[in-house]
Amino acid sequence: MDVVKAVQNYINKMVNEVPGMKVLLLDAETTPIISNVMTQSSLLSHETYLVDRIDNRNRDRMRHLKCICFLRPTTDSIQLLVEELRDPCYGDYHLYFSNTIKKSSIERLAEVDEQEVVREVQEYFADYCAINPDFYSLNLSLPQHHLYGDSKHIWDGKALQRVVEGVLAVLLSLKKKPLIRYERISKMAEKLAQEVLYQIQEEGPLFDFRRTDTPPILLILDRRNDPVTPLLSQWTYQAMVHELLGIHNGRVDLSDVPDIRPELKEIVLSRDQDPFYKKNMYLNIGDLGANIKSYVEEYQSKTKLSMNIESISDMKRFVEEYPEFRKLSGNVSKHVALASELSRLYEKENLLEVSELEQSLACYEQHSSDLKSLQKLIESPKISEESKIRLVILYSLRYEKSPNNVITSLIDQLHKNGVSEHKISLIGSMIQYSGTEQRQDDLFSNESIFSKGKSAFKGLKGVENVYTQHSPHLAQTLELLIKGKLKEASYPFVGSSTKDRPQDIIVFMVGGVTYEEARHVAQINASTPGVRIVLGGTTVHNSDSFLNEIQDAFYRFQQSGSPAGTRPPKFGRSRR
Amino acid sequence: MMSSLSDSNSFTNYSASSNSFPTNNSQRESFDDFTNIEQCLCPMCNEPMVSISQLYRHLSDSHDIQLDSFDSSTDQKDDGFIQLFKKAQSTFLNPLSSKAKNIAKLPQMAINKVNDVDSIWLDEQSDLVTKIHWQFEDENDLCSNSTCDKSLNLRNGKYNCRKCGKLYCDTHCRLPMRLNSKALHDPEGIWCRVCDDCFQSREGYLDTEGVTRSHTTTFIKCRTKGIERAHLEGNRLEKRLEKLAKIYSTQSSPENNSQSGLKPSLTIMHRRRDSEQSVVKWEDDASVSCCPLCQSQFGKMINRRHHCRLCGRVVCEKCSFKISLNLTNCSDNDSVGEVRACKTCRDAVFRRKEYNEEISKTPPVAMLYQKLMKIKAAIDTTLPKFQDMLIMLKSQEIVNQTHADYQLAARTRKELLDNFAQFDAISKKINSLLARSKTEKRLQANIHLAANQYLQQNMLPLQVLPKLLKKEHDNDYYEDYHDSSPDMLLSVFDNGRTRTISTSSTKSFQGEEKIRQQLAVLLEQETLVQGYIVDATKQRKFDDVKTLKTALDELKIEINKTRKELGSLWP
Repeated sequence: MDVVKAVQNYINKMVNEVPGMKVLLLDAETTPIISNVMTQSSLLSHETYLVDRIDNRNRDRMRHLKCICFLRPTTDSIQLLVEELRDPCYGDYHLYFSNTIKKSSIERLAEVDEQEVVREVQEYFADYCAINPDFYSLNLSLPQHHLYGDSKHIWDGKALQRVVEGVLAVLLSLKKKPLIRYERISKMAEKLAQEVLYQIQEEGPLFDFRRTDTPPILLILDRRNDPVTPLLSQWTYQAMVHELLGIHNGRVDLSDVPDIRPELKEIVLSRDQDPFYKKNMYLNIGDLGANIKSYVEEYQSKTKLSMNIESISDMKRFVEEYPEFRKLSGNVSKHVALASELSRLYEKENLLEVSELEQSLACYEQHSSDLKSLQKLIESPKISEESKIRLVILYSLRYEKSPNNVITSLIDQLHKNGVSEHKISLIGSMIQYSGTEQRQDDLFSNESIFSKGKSAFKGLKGVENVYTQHSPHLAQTLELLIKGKLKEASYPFVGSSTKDRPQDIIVFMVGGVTYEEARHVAQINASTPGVRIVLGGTTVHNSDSFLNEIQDAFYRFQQSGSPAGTRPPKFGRSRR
Repeated sequence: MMSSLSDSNSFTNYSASSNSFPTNNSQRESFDDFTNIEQCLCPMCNEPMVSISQLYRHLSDSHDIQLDSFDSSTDQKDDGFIQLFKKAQSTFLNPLSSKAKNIAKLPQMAINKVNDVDSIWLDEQSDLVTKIHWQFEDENDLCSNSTCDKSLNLRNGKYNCRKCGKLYCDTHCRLPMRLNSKALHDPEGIWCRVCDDCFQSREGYLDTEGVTRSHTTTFIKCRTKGIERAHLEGNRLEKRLEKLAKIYSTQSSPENNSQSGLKPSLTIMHRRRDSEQSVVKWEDDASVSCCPLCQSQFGKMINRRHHCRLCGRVVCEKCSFKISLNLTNCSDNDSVGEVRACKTCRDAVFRRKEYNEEISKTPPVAMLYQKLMKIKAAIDTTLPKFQDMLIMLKSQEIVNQTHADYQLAARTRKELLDNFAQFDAISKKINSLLARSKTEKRLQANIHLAANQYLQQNMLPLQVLPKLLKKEHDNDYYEDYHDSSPDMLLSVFDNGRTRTISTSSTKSFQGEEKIRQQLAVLLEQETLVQGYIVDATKQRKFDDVKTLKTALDELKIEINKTRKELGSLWP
């Protein structure tokens, strides 16, 4: 159960099976799938010297090259491939599709292949972006993909199709034929569960795997049952970078950073290539700082060593170590630049203060004291509008049903402080999207007496760090599932069911996952022998992208029927 | 029943045991709420229950809380209920009292979870699964896990893995797996306690290969049908082309000979048209109003109609081409004339021909690349052999190594170095080839890059190896010679020098050979360092450049020294 290895395996198989000089032809959707898990040098070592896009129509004819096409079998890609085969640029063609291809498409392709250049047609189910070994994403993000159709409970047709295919590809690449459970209250999760089950039954022979001791579980969740996690400021490395700067297909754009060196304008964060990142991606900023310091010291000591070359043997050693050394120096400056930019942003936006209140709102029922600090922060000019909105959303989500909440007066206060209307409207949208009515589990533990007691005890535990008290709802759900205590009434099965405790669990979250959740899953995996969990979702959210998606969806719901007006500006912080 | 609850011993315990419990009041109210309604909630999961007895059943089914004294009689029920409450309370309180600090950490919680998983799944299935293979217990057994050396006793636990039979401590033998009566893995079997190794070595457990499905045969089947049709069509058109060529050659050749440069006369044109129409029937002009390929309207003067001589269709000027007629298939020179053909026909006739021609031509890049790969294959086969040789030499050092083996290893090494040098040269040549386009340039640069990667991976380690070789050599031949200097290279130079001065000519030859090798190594390093300097300058890492420059200078001095050394050998 390692999604990164699964995808790498597919790609290695493609480039290994064909000897000779090769070109790799990709489409818009398979490019990120490959770039997330492969490096240029590993492709080069398999004689893949060129990588190009199939939608690039100005490719040179190079008949002495063999061509590996790795494409998603979409209508666009098939059309482009038809044109390519009609007038082939390369010698041999090996076609690999990332998902099931229709019979009619095969026939179309066969018809135009008059030069008989196609040697192979295969389906390799690497149809998702593997980010960590236990974390994947389908990269369905705005503006190309809309998740919601005409209302907040209905899938957009195309998106559903893509998600079903993506989930099936995850299952096939991991060789799992699971039992499927979903969050009862979510219509979208239910629809997806039914579709996946139907497809598994349709594709019977594909899903013919060795029997396991206990059937694997596919758990389909909905973001709206836990809207809190993506709204919080993050304090662990990977999550922090995504929250503040954004990680897109393993790359971070630092071009906005003041005085950045040209080679650091865009950096790559890869677990495989960067052992330092691998070691520290789940650590909080305090531990990270210490580790970066010792990393720099290690580098300095090595520099010193290389500076005093006295004998030939020193020199020889230096020459042998130099490539390694150069790599190290690049890596050190990368992480130092990244960490210093993170701390600059935290300071600039006063995120320590904000985060403390966020955590308190997310974890504890302390209405009066939290309200006071919330009002103080709304008045403060040092806090960004985005942070204010997020805090009021958190407040509204928690105290929505409490009789003495003051949501309306907080909104007035936001108006007075010059926060723009379209940002404020997000508060209402979030309540509609994910208010108490839309959630099935007692997220804040404030809906019944017993859970209130539980949350009171939570307050007694003694907290190590005020900024990392919150643990996502997913962690609790998974604990129950592992124990075999996740109630069937709230998380029903579609199709057959089991009472067994699961050993392999695949989670899919409709509406996006977060790196915080990925970290919790990695922790559970490391600490629970015998249980393997893989987490994924429609996309990986940070607070900005999450709120943007909601804003976009509700904007469209309001516009349906009337012609589209001006789109509200994108929600998100400015970095300068 | 209600009275026994409202007096609630358990509840007083509840609040007393946690004196800092903050919401006492609300809790009391709510507790009353809970007991007063007939439809009560499960204390663990808040699921509504119709009756107390249903709650009992729910608790034992869903939460594994066993109420041992459960009975249907009323008194017992009350007792049971209090017990149940104590249980519920203890699940709340225990973590607090024992590991208040650790519980905050998720992993610890997860471990606790596993603990109670085991207690339920791992029943002692003594009679169902065979125990024949079990390791016998002893006084001082140690855990069989390679990373754990705990002694097995009551405290650490002592368990036989039900599958492999070895003894383990509690932490390394707690995973559940289904076994059959012969203690083999069987998804139909019963849950047993097994060790980590057995758990993970189940078939397919660590499999990372995903499903693949091939459509190649379907594709080829579909293609064959189409191809046959296309071939037939192509052949037919080719036949027509041949006929046209014959017509042109018989009719135009005398004309060309006698009055070259002049246009053929009208009568000839007419005669030719007739014979062209005998090859294929021409479509009637009036029946077509627009071009079938590009849909543009025909007119009288502009966009006139043209007939394709191969299929007879009417097409426009843009969609037709003049193709030259040859009597023999291959040569371009003996053209006997030109005829008009539509785009479709031209493609059908020529595209396959063109494609095959292009395929058969090998551009210089491809030729060089083939050479490159041949050398690489040679290196890939020799390199492991060489490494084996080194290992063998090393092991034979104890039994006094023979001269022949050493010679062989040295020869292989030289061969390898030669191959590497050739490999490098070819990759450089590929990089310097004249590229016709950007893509081609990129291709060449990438081949060069990949070759460099390969050299870095394989040649650099090779340079370390001769050290070992020499060391053995040195130890063998100069056992009396003890050099305290850690600097192998310099000591080798010294050895070489001693040799030339003090020993016979054969040995001095060996010394020379050695110095030559040293020189080769140094020269290689020189080029490497020069490469690094270029890279570093490009990346504006001036600190590195400085260091590298000093390194380079010293290398140069050393190279000169060695060269002199070499010269002094043969005065």
